[in-house]
Amino acid sequence: MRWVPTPLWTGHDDLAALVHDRWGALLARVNADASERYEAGEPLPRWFAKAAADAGLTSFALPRGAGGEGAGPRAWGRVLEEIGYLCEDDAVPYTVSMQAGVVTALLEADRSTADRSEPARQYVCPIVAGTSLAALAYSEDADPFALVTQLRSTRDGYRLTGHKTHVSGAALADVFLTYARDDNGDMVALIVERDDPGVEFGPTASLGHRTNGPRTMTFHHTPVPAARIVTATDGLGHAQRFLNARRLVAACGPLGRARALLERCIHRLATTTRYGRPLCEMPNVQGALGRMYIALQAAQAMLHRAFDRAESGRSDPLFDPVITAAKHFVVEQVRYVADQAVRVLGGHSCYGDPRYGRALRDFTDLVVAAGAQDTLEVLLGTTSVSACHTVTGREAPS
Amino acid sequence: MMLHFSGTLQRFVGFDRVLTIPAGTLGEALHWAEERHPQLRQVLRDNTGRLRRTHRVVLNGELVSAPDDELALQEGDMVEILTAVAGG
Repeated sequence: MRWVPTPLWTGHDDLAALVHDRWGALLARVNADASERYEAGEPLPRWFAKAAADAGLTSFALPRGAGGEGAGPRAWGRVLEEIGYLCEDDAVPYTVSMQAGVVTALLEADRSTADRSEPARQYVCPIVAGTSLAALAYSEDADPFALVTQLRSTRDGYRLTGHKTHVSGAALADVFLTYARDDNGDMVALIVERDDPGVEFGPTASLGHRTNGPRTMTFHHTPVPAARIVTATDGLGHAQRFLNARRLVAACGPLGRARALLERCIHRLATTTRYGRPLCEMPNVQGALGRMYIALQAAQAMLHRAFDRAESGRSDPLFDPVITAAKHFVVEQVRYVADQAVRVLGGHSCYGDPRYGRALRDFTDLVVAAGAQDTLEVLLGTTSVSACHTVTGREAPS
Repeated sequence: MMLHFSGTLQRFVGFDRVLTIPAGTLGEALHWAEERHPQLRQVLRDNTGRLRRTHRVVLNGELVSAPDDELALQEGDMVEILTAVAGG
């Protein structure tokens, strides 16, 4: 009999069933020790990359020409959401979407040339095959115009010097898409390999997402051959394009996970008795559950609309306001759901089931992921003001 | 014409939100601003001298889809440079 999702969530049953049928066993394998790894701060096991690739998960949304299945943004978003629903480890949707994101970035960088660029030629196939893991090394605890990592040209290539303060996935990754300033101050996108001379990793504390394997990365005059340059000019545009796409997929897994959290919360409340009756029969608790459900339905609607926009090709590739608003909104809703779960469950959420604490930490982490919420608010406000032509005096609608 | 900077770009023009510039093209206007605020050039342009893709040009309230230096301007025009960057 075909698996069907909980009636609480309707509208995309086919994709939910596809994720369950095709990747359910893989996700169950990850779930088996998810709690222990999280508490220990251990990253996903190494076998995951190959298993996800062999199962066609990593390549699901990649173009057929790159060894993928060619699924569009809408289907990919739904798949990531359902993975979040079924899998207790946020590192899974994060990792597979990061692989797809880096491959897409490598392929897009050479769209202007007839042949695939050297970085695409060298790195796409191993990433798609799961024999090589990729990560983004961007953050420097600075604004995009104040990054200090430098790429200096030499007689036989380049030398990279600098420091990245937080690189998710660095504990396992083999290749890193990173950004640096060149001799002229322009930003360059390039690939660094884990074993390159002068690459040093360090520990970094993380509020949540402890299985993502975050590390600091320092480059000590690391030699970089010219063939590793992904884009030699306007790397800032390249990075913003990457982050804009990232904003959309980063919200999917947590949304699925928040849905699962609500269900788990309801099951617990149905078996917890206070004053002679189950907690879930108390109107104040039912009201809280209703608000959580509304939050998640609204988040789904917002996210799916943003994916529809991406699917139709109407989204702005560098900064799309609808995508940005969706990321912001989903993050606030999943944080609300985790907070409400703690309130209605009481002590059980704090010492009876570690999933709620993990969700609180991981969802809070999302406040700063792929563009901090406060920054996104300012950008959306600025964009809105401009769109209403306030500066040039367009009149408000009656 | 008037050149309007918002958000993160303001610090590169000494927090002058609006510069009034005698210019007939976008290139002339940007060059004028870059002359007075040398840091601005590196922020606005890439290695090839093109305006970075992260900067949107809005002319009299209308987004210019592919702005270049030849964009013609008239007296009284308002050009906004909107920069939407996040992460870092």
